[in-house]
Amino acid sequence: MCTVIPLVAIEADDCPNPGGLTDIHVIRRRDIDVFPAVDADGVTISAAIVPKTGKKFVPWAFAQDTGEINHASSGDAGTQSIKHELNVYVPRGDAKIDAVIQSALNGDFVVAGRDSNGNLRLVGDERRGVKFEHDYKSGKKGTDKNGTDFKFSGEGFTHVPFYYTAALPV
Amino acid sequence: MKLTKFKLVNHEGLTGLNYKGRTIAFDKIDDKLAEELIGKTHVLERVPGTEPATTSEAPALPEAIGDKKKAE
Repeated sequence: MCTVIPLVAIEADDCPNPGGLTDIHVIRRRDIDVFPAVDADGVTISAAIVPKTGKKFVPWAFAQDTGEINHASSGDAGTQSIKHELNVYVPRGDAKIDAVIQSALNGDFVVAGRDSNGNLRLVGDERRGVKFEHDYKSGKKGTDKNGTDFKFSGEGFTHVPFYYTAALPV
Repeated sequence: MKLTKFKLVNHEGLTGLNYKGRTIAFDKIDDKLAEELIGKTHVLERVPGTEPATTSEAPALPEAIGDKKKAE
């Protein structure tokens, strides 16, 4: 069901506007019991996500200045939708991190990423999650990066990543 | 720090809340913070009878004012 939202003006502002993400929290989509309806603006969720009993959002730490959340239109005119993407770089390769990677393959996720302006945004929703991909590289020299690129992505969304203003259960 | 006007519910397996970029353990939530968080989480419930008091009186209905003037 689509609701056509009237166009409104975009106002200029003189506020600071840093890039990047400061933290991410991850949950499997199937572990969400209640995914609230979006607010009237079509982009904000102000009611709380309720996980199933015993489930929660878990934080995944990442290297500073490596987190990003992206969305872009995709598809031809007349069939356009939105793709979601969230990327971070997790330094070091060890058994604990690799166990997380292994458990995430073929998973279907909703990921909350907070940007440097303080906005918490969700990639994935109640009907369509984002898939997880990784790319680990040990590096060759002592000064090379040794760690894993994490990527969450999905296509075919009818909305941008929602702005989530309630509390995350952790 | 203690919850007196609220109680924690349905928080099995959870350790706290992440709100506005801060992770808040359940034992750090007091009544003041709970007042801000109520409605933004499923784990807080207000204890009946502890609703904040309303300070403003409801304005008189225009019809009622008109009736009063007529009576004068």
